[in-house]
Amino acid sequence: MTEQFVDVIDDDAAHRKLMRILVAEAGYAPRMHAAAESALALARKSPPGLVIADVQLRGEMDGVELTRALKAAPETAHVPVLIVSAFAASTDEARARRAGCDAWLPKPLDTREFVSLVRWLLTQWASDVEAT
Amino acid sequence: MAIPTKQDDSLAAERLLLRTILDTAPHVLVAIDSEGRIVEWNACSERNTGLRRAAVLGRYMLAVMPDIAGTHIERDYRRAMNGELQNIRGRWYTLPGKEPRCYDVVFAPMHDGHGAITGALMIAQDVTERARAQEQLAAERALLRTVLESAPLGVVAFDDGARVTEWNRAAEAVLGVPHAEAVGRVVTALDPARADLDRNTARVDRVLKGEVMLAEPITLYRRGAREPTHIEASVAPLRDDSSRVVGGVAVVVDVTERVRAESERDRLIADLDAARDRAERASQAKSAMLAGLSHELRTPLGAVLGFAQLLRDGRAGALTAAQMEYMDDVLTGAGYLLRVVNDALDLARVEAGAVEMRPEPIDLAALVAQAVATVVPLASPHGITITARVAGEAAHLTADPGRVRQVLLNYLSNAVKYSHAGDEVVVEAAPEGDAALRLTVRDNGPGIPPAEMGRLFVEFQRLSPDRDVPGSGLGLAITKRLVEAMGGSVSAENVPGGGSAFHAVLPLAPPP
Repeated sequence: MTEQFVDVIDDDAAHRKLMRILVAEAGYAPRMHAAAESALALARKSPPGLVIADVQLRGEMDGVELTRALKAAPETAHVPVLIVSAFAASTDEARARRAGCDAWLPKPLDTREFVSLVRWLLTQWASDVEAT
Repeated sequence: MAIPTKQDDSLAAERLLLRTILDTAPHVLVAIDSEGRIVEWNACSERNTGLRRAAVLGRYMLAVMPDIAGTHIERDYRRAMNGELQNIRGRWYTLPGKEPRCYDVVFAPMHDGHGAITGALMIAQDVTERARAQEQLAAERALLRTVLESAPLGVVAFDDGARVTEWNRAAEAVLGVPHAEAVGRVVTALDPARADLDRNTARVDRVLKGEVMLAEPITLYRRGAREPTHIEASVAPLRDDSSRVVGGVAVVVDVTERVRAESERDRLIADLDAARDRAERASQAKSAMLAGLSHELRTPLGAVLGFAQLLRDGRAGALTAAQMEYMDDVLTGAGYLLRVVNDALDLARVEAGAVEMRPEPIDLAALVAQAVATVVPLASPHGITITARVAGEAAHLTADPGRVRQVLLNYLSNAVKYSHAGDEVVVEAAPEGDAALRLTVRDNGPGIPPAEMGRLFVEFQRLSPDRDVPGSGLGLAITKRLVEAMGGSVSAENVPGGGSAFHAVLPLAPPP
């Protein structure tokens, strides 16, 4: 089995670095992006096993819009999306869920919870979703 | 005895007719001969004087009717004897033992066939009622005049040509034009500046067409005045007996002071509104800044916490015992900082009204048990016990469960922080009247110093702790605002015997 990619999109360099380390710790190959547009283009060409995005992004497209775009394209519709947010506001979560995001974590991240959630999304999620 | 002739018969008939006429007349008829003796005294004279005809005939008039002061019968008689016809209106006579009565009197000379004066005829008509009515009318007019002149209201009347007919003293003061100048002139021409001439002319025209105007505001400039005079004029048409409009009457009041006071008040209100708007904008700006700052702090803090966790857990290589201890200190400090930032963000949201309440029916016993379970790990290691008492009838509440839990957790963690080993914290829920619920968290800690009581629920006003008590100093301020946002109120008190009690009274159903 080839190594699976995880696309991580966050406009904060420190969080990008932290998530890169945590994704690697989980056993996957992180592909880092500061903006949604480049991540979306790459994901369409070479779909990853998981997309992790911050809700707030500095570019034209935010995490919720990225989720919607991924779920709308046939090449990426099956890829699970994890949204992280510095806002604990439930309205943000509801907005992301409506756009089709599969998991939600508030920042600051609990690093252990993050690692186990990434592993679950890449291994169990697909079969768990099919089972329901 | 003579036998009556036919001529005698007709003479008698004529006399009878004359007698009848005289006695039927509603006038006093008295005839006096040239000697001053009464020769005729009709029935009306009898009724008016109470003296019988038979008793007075042939007697001297002045003996029967003494010339009482003011009656002048003797003088009138003499003038009549001199050929003078006198027409006297409204003369008062007081007969002995009677009320004074008023008469219109004619004293006329009587002539014989040759034109010689043979006596005087006095014809008098009782006009007492008319005289009294006229007196009454005159008194009323005088009173009206007095009222008109002393009234603090300017009264102006004008005829159907808009010419002034009445202009009382107050009108002089209000309108600044003396009576002598005003009367006879067209009323609208009396504003020296004629500032509002067209409008006032239209107003007078409308009144002359029968319209009534109440409290019309009119601005005028008195002669030589720079500041306007504000008056209010109520104007009504004057009508004659056949309802035809013959003029108008205006009541004018100087309202300059009131208008000034009102514009001053409006200015003050506008100032206050502006000040309040500024304060609200400043408060919103403060909340927005607080929210923005908190968010900006959370982002790097998240990175600090994340990397610290990695290091502390040895996921970036093994640490020495000292390194591990210091990383624990970093995590504790960063965690505390995160709580402060979170609380500040929360407070900013509540203050900005950005907290959305999602009320739903709450199983209060379960919610209280859950809150207690959250705090037990903080309490048990210190030997502090927590007891929950939820009254059965207080079990139902419709509110945002997350927010009610937050309120309870705030109170509970405060109580635990300020308690000592062996202390007990009690959380109670009991009905408050028919429509509310009281949540109380009681402790037997040190209690609240009286000096701090007033600023308990104010931001960044932490109680002076007797040990290192962690907290942002925002918990109670957030609690107060959350409870108020749910339509309730908070309070705190010291409990007799030591300790304190914090209350939150919540409506059983959320306010609309």
